[in-house]
Amino acid sequence: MRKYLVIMFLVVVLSFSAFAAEKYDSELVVGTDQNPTTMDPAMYQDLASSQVMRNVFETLVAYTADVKEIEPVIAESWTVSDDLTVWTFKLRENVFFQKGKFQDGRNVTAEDVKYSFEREMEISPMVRIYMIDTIEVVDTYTVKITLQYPYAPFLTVLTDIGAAIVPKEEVEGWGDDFVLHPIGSGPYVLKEWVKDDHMSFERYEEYWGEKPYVKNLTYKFIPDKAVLTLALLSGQVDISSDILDQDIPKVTADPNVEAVMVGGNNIYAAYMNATKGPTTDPKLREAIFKAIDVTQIAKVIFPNESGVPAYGPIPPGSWAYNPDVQDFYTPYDPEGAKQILKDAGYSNGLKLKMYTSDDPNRRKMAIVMQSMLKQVGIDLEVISLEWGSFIEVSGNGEADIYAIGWTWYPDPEFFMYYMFHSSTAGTYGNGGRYNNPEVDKYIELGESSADQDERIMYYRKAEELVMKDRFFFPGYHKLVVMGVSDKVKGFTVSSDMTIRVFAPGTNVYVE
Amino acid sequence: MRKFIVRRLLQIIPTLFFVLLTVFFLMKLIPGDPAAVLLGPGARAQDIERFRAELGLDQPVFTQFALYLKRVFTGNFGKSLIYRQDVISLIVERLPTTLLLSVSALFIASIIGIPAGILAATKHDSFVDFSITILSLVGISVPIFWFGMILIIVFALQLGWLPAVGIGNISNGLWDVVKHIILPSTALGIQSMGIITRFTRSSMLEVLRQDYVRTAMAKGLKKRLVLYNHALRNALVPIVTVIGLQLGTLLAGAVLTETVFALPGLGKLMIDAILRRDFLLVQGEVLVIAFIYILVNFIVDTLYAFLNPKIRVAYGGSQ
Repeated sequence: MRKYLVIMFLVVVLSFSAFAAEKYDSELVVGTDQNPTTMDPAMYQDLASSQVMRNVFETLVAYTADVKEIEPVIAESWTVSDDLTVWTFKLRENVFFQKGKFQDGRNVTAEDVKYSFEREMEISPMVRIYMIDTIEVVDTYTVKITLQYPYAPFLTVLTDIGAAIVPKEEVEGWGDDFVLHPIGSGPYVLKEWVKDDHMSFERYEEYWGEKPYVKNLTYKFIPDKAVLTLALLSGQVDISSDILDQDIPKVTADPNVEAVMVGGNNIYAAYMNATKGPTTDPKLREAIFKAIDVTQIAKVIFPNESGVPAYGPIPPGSWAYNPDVQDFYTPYDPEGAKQILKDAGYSNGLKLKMYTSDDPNRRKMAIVMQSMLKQVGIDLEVISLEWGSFIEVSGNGEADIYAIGWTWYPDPEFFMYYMFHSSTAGTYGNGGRYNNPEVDKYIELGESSADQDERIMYYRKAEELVMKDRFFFPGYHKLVVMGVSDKVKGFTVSSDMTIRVFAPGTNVYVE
Repeated sequence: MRKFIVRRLLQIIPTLFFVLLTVFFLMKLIPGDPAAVLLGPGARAQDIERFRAELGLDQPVFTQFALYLKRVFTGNFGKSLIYRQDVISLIVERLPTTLLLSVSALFIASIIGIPAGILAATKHDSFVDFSITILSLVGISVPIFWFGMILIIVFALQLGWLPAVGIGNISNGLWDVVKHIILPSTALGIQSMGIITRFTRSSMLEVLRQDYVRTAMAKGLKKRLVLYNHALRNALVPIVTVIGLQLGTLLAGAVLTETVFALPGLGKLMIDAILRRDFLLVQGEVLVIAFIYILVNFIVDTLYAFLNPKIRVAYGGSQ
């Protein structure tokens, strides 16, 4: 009897350890429709590049996979002055760079933070840490960063891969070729990059932190989303970055894959011109709000419910999302709209021009708006342009209305400041040239307050004012829909659309 | 013959200059400031301004053109704005894929198109002729995008015989590349196949009606011999021209095919470059593609001269 017990025990132990070993041999293929263009953190401009760079490079702090908490990575802890301008980071002493041609895997120190941030500020075409004033090395593992003004979302900015810590020897040793030989402190090394085709990473066995389960990680670039879904269904990829609404039934019908949806950090809306043309008339804007049934927009674009109607600019994926946002919303009332138009002297009809990019969803939104406005006597001309031409028109203040799409971090600052603060007037985010000093004030209070609850209150107040001014007609929030094979375990779909294979609290493996 | 070749080669230079001039000013004419497009929606105005200056976009257009021309003459096509790498190295990386795709498509189109055309011509007005004509018409009309998708669904998803996307890796053996290229080159070649079939058919029909073919037949020569030695050789002259011209069409069609099948080729690179206003990359790429196209035309013309002695004589050749 005892003999059997021993054997059984051994069988259990052995199979368990065999399983554990297998877990560490995981191979994962991620399919994305976007194609990375660079592996140099200071040079990146797109999500596709930042996503793959996260395997090689690390930041002081990083988001968890659900994009809710910011966790320490290279930094161990930090303190911030009461006025939110001086941020002092204590680095972990056991973080090492990967071994490269020009250094042999040395410690990451405060000097590296200073070097990396100054490099980003000097050469990046789009500086993300522009609010930094000075960086001071206090000791080997302590760095003090002083900002030009109080900035509460500074930690969020530091999660951006543009703020990754890079080794000076490698950057300067490789020069322009650093993009092809990226070296950071991350858990993976770049093995092969066939541009426009695939990129493969291999686990760095001497990584300083927890060991990732996935040994070989490949990204396959498939530009057409419908084909990307076919690649998921045929088993060529294990995770697909985006599934079109119309392909969702195809994916749910397959027992081996799942379409996972989470609320996204995005807003798609119609922004009206605040300085020029008919939309400067508040009566007309009120009529437009009343004439459009926003629930119809989401229904038309997302028959499979991968999008929801929007009632305000702050998306449900943000921690500042207001569940009572509908309280300030001007509800659908076509008869009321007709009455207002009549009283305001628009009974002879009115022509408006709306510009949209060639994104099919935004075009559908514009067309639904067109048909509803027609019923109250407003003739909306919809002009669809290719992206480059579209952002020129949207920023130059010529459009009566333009279809804006905005997506960023869950911190409300990245929605409210960039779309509604008067200093951004004339950019794509605030192409309506909206300017309300009171809104500016609340946004600035939100930027400079340390208390999260207080910040929520300020941004919600700003949102309420924006909705009462009615220049910004919210259309829909798109859900993030990813296809995941059931072999993939421990994966969380992120609301910022980044695929995180290894992140604080996340270590994906394949069965 | 030499005079003919030299003359044709000299024509390449002004043609390329004109291509460069056109594409340079076209890129200036399309709306969308490259700096703003490249930096994306969240860019601050001062970053866009700085980037514009860095790219030299704040200078007068003619200065920009002169500077660009000077650089091109020294073999420097500049650095891509999206990839921050040399334009030439980006093109060279992707050239093999596009060439492989176009040439395989042309190969598939020719080995099926020419025999089918001959068959249709010899069985003139029969059921076979009728079916081939209809099928080739379908081939010409079918959109690459749709046909590519159908091929993926049938052969990759349902039958599971071939991979859906990607180019494969030569280090995994030749078969890996071949199996990846079959579907895309079929999708891309179907249109050319239809055109080549129809062209071969009508060209053969015309030749078969000629007196010398009838004489050959009357002499009692075998039909096969007449067909291949007398008729086909003459019918081939216009067919070679069409095949040469098809390569240009195929290079253009490669854009769509590369998108559907996720192939890392020039077409995909070009689309990305145009959409993101990477003007140096667009200019460099157009120049390279134009050069290939001109080169192919040159080869076709030379081949043509070989196949048809009359042309050599017209150019005062050595015969």
